[in-house]
Amino acid sequence: MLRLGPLLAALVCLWMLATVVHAKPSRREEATEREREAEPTRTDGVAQPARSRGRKALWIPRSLLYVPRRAVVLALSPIRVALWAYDRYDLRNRFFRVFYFEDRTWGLYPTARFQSQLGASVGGRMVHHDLFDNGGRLDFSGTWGRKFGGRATFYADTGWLGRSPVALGVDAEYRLIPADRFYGIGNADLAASADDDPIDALRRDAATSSRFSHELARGGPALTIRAAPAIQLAISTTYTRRRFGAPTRATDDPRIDQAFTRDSLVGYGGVSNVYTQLRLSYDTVESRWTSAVPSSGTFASLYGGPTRGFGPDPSRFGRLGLDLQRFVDLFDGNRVLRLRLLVETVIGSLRRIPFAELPTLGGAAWLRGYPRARFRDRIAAIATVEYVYPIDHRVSGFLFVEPGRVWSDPTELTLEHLRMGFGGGFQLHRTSSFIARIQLASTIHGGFHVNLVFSPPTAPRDPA
Amino acid sequence: MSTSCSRRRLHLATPRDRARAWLLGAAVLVAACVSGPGQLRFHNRAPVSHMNDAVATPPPHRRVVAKTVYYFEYDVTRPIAHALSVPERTIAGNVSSLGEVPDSSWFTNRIGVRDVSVAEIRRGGPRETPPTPPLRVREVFAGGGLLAKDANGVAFVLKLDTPLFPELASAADVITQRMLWAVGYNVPQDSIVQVGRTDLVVDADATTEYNGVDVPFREDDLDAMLAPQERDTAGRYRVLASEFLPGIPVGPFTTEGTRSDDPNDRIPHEHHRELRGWYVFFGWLGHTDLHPGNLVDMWIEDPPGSGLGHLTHNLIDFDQSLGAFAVASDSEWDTYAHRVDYRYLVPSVLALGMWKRPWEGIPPSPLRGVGRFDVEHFRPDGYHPRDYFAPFLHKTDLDCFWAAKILMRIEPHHIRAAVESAQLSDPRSTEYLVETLIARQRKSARHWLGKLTPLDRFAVTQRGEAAALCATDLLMQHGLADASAPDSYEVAVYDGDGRPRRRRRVLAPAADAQLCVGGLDPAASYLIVELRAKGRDRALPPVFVHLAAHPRTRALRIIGLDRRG
Repeated sequence: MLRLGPLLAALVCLWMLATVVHAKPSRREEATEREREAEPTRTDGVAQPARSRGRKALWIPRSLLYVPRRAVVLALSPIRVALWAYDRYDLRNRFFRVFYFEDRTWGLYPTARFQSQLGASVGGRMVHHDLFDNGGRLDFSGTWGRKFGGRATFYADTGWLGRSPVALGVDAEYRLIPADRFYGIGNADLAASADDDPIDALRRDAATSSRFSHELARGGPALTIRAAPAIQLAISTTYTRRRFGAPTRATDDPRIDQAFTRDSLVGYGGVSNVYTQLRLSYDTVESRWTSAVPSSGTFASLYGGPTRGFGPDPSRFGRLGLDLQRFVDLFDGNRVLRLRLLVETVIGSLRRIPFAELPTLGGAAWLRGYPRARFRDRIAAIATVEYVYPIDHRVSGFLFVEPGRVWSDPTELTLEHLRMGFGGGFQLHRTSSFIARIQLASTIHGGFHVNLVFSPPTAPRDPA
Repeated sequence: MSTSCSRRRLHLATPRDRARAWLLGAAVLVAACVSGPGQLRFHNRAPVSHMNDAVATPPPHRRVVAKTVYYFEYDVTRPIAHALSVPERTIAGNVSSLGEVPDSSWFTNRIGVRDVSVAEIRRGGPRETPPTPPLRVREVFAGGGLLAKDANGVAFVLKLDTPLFPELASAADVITQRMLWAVGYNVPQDSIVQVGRTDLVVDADATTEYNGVDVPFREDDLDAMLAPQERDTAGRYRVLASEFLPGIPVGPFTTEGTRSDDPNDRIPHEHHRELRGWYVFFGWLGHTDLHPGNLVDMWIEDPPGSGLGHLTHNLIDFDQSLGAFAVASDSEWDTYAHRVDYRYLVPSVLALGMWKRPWEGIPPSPLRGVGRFDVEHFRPDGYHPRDYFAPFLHKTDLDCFWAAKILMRIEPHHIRAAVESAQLSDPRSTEYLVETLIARQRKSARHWLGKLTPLDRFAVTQRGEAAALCATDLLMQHGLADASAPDSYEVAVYDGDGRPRRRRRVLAPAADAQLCVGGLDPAASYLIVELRAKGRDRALPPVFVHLAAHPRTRALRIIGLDRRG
């Protein structure tokens, strides 16, 4: 039987050998052809051009790489077309012409966003970048999505008034979450499946995933005083109104009032309270590379205040929090170790603290690797060790480990059953601002979360 | 034989040295056996020194480049596609038989070909062209440049320094402009001028672009622009004045291929030696701003009113060179890496920040008007423009050798004149820049000249009955020779059919860096002289000098150089 393989291989070898060895094509013909060419292409005065001997063999790698090369170009062509349209139709300027007033301080434009776990949402935003000609800001936005629900926010501040160290602001939010999550109160592991009997959340001996609809409205004024270059004092009062009910979107999880006893869900009948907060901040953080990556200094913030309920709302508790951040410049301002300790506690009887106002852990910012608000209790603490390093001029990488847990009582403080998240990702930024983070996080108990985060990791914690 | 060569032999004391010497000897022997002049032959005619690419043609269309697409192409797509295309390094297409770039609409041989005077360098060109006030501002460009006409009707682009970094950009511009002009490139004539507020008048119909549309530009807008600027004791502002290039702008030239509507444009631009050679000059000057807006084609009607003319290819805007961009834009990677640099991207991810990249940890200069520009961290082959630049993807050592030859023709007094024309207020800054430019020049030349057989300036002389071929060892001539530089040359002579004419010889250059190969047969019709540099550590690729008898006088003359690289 004729064996074609070796024969073909031998033929290919012979052909390649001939290609390499036979390096004398009809040079006279070539020279004659070149002679015919008119100036200015003829400059070299070469009668018999030199040829590289291995030139003809280049067809082999070129053929092999032809498809990958075309594939790369093809895969990138949609971006190219989009950029071409951006340039050709001057889309940036058109955007400002259509959606902004002439001096680009006032604008009203549509928004669209996709968030992991919350899906797509659309909306609109109105901004003013220089309120009172004083660097003040106004920001009013509305967003709606099927999974996301609805959200409207309003923010305005005056900037530093004149040359004074005083700024005034007002902040308001309306949020409609069709299927918010509640896992129970405490540090318990998640039960594989819900028991038939509802759990008493206040006994904290079990955790299960449940859903509820959440309508939140809050807002209030704030006064900020710059006491010294590094020290700020902020006083704010926030009125909060919450309404809960059955989830308005179908999910696999049970309703909150089926998974947990109605009595143990403090505030489920409605929350209407006022929280007055005093925040003292010390900030010596500096950036040597980009303001999105602080490179040295300390940020410390001590905050707290009382909450009082109105009408049927049983709220009567105090909140106290400490946020300590230290940035250690390991090299050149862009290899930075970020250390953070955040402790937040509410003081009062659990019967007087609505379940939605308890400090929580879990999500894309606090105890990363766990679902959002996976843990909640009277005391929550988290320590973050994050290492940031440069990759490109606009990209940095980060690795983090984040232990933390919640406790029900200061007398029970222990590091047993500590929860631990870890992971890493990439951060995109400009020279002067943070853009986004792509974050991959897991935990010592398994699970894997991918988040696209649009707020910087150093941002202070919002009220619950 | 030079004494230095004998002295080196004594140093081969260790077994390692001896092994290296044997290996080198074997390599040279093998190379000598397998190589020869090859098939390449030249026409028996004088090398071309001028390329007529100014044949009168109708004006081409104005070319518009989508800048964002360009950045995407040259930062992301093209480098990958280029690597996957398995490109072959090809010899530049617009060189003469001596490997030189003839005069053309792209390049004019200046320094070294003729005497470029210090006065010319100080002026930045052949004529005195500072603007004559008053300057009437007609338009303000998006980048902040003011288009103005002086009292004589000459158009200028006026630029102000960034208030945070006074003198930095304007000084960088005039120094780089002068050096590139001396080398031979087409650049506008730039100068530093001090103008008072009354010297600037805003035209009634002056405009600026805002949100993509033209809006009026008024006197108070100019006041706002000038407000943060420093003023001298007479209350005048320091302004960079760049004379408008002659002709009609017809858009940028491409960095690859040719311009389809210009019949004079026949050689793909990536194969232009003078464009590939930018690598050496721009590396020396730390100039990275090569986006299309700075590569300008101008159509010159010749004769005026005929509707016919030709293009000139120009380079503008040098105010981000000499490390100015790295400082003003906080981009310390400038000149070390591309904006998107795959060589650094993947290793940076994997190294987790434990890799100190070449630009990191270098403190900025404390001197006023000086950017991130030093000698210590300068690597001649480590220069990278901000975006990938097609001619650099195709460049060969031959192109860089050509550029390095010209680079070393720039004398220290030329450099000093260029730096002094920047009118820096701190004399320490002037001294620093002069010293740094000279040191970088020498470092670059040592690198690129040392990669090939460093002989040039070949000439045939008559010595009695026989002819001699003489050449200059450039490394030796410029005092750049170090321990690794060649100390002798192996010489072989072939006839026109490639047959050896004489036994191989080893010659050493004389103290004046001249190397002469005598005893050439004056009656020969075609001779090829092979010169192969021998160094202690390595053998360099040879250069074959082709000589032929002049058809009329029968005297031997050089008709071509086959420099291997």
